[in-house]
Amino acid sequence: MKTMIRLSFVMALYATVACVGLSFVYIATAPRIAAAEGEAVKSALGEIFPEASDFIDVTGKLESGSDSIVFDRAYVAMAGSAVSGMVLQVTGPTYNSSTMLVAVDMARRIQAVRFLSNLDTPGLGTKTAESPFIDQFFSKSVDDGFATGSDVVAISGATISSKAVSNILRLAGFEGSEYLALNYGGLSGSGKAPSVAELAPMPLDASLADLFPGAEFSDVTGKVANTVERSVVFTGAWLAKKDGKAIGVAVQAKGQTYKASTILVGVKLDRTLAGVRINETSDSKKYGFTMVSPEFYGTFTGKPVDDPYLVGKATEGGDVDAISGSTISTMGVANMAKVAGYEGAVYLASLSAGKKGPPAASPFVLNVIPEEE
Amino acid sequence: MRKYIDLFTNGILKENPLLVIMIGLCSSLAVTTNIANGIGMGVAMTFVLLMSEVIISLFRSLIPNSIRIPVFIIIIAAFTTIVDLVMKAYTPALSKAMGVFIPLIVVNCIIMGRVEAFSYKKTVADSVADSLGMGLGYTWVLCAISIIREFLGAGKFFGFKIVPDGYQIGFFSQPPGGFFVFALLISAVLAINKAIEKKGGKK
Repeated sequence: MKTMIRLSFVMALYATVACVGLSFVYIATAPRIAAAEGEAVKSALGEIFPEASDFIDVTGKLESGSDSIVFDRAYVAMAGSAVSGMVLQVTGPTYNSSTMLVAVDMARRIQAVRFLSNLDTPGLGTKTAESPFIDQFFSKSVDDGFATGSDVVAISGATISSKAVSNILRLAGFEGSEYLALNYGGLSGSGKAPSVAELAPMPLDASLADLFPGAEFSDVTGKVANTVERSVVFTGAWLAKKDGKAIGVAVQAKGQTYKASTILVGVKLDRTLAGVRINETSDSKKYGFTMVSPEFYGTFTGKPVDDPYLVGKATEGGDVDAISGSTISTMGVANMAKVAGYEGAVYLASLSAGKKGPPAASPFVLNVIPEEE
Repeated sequence: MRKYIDLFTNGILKENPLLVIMIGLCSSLAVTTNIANGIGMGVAMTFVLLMSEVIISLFRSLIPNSIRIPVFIIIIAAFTTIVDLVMKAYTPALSKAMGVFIPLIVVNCIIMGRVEAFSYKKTVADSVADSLGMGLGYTWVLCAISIIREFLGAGKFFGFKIVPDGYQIGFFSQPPGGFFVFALLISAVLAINKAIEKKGGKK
């Protein structure tokens, strides 16, 4: 024990001395590094707008309006007294993350794209920085859809990177053009700002309001009991009322997905789901996390609670489509939706407000989540 | 004095880290496409090796044996980070060309091998001689590989074009070319070392 403490102390001491030393070096070199990076950007700007005589720094005057996509720098290119366009340095999440320079001209077209860094998988995601993928954006109007599959051809094997890069280019191109239109007489567009939907779990309050819009909620946690499945835990329940009448119940359930997830299941009086919303998930960012997308959880909206809720890929004749690559996560969500839906409907029936279930409603079979995929 | 000269020359030829001990190869093959990279990498690596060996031999009695490896890593990583930051600040182009191989000096086997096998047991003066010898041994091999590869692969010498377009052998700019040149150098140094040994044996 004594040696252990001594060794940890020695180790900590060395680490501390190293850190203090490094912080001094960092403080000394940081301004030079920033200056050198600025120089690199400036020279890239010169290549994009060779006719420009001056670049006005407008960094901080444009907002991306997104939490994850950041405009690091912004310059307006001036050729004499005429404006030839602008360049934004934008950093955003691709498969991992990328920083690029996006140039737009006065006619709302993307002029050039330069990657400053691309941390995606080498050989797959990094192909977004190369021809022919990146070439399809040159001279592209920022009011286009930028949707992979229609006006943007994705890289096979790097769909996520392709989508993300198109999104970032679209947002940066649009905001840059808008800024030019407002301040320098650039062509103005009619389109609305592109909204970049970021996939994130939906908090409880937002989920409740989304499932039962305009309803009032009273907490009935504990009154909706889980009598069928021990692996699913009900962490809360709310009765939704409109004009004093019950219209449904929302049950929050926690259970195993690939790791664990908490979902909110809304049940209506007619034994169908008002929908499913994902409140929390610790599943892997690359696969199971896809459950937070509306395309997935939206498939449960209006689904009768007496359906089998078996996942198609794993079970013959299943009625829930698995997220590709995430069958286990899908099974977990389907199980929770089934159990919570069933118990929610039972609770509503007990209030003599909801429809009673058919005699064969219970017992039912759940998806069997394999130990290892 | 004789001892230090021996220690110093040891790394250059007889126990050259790349050509004889054959450790720390990945970075040396990856960056040696032009001479500037070769020199930059060699200097960066020599600095980290020198500083780590000095610090570790200075504090060798204060580093408990059971946690020596993690402590070595901390010290090496600190100096590598210093080199990385300084290069980013003063030679951004070179730093960009070497990319990830500068941070990867941390796990360069030459440094780890020398501090573990040499400076943890020897005096500061010995360590300085050894690290300079090893560093120089590393640097000259890097320069040799990159001069050959730059000349044959890109037709350039120190960045100046001397072979007209169309007469380059692209193979030498690619990783296989690196291996090829490397193998030739290994056999050359082996032959030289054998010759020296024979001469020494006759005496």
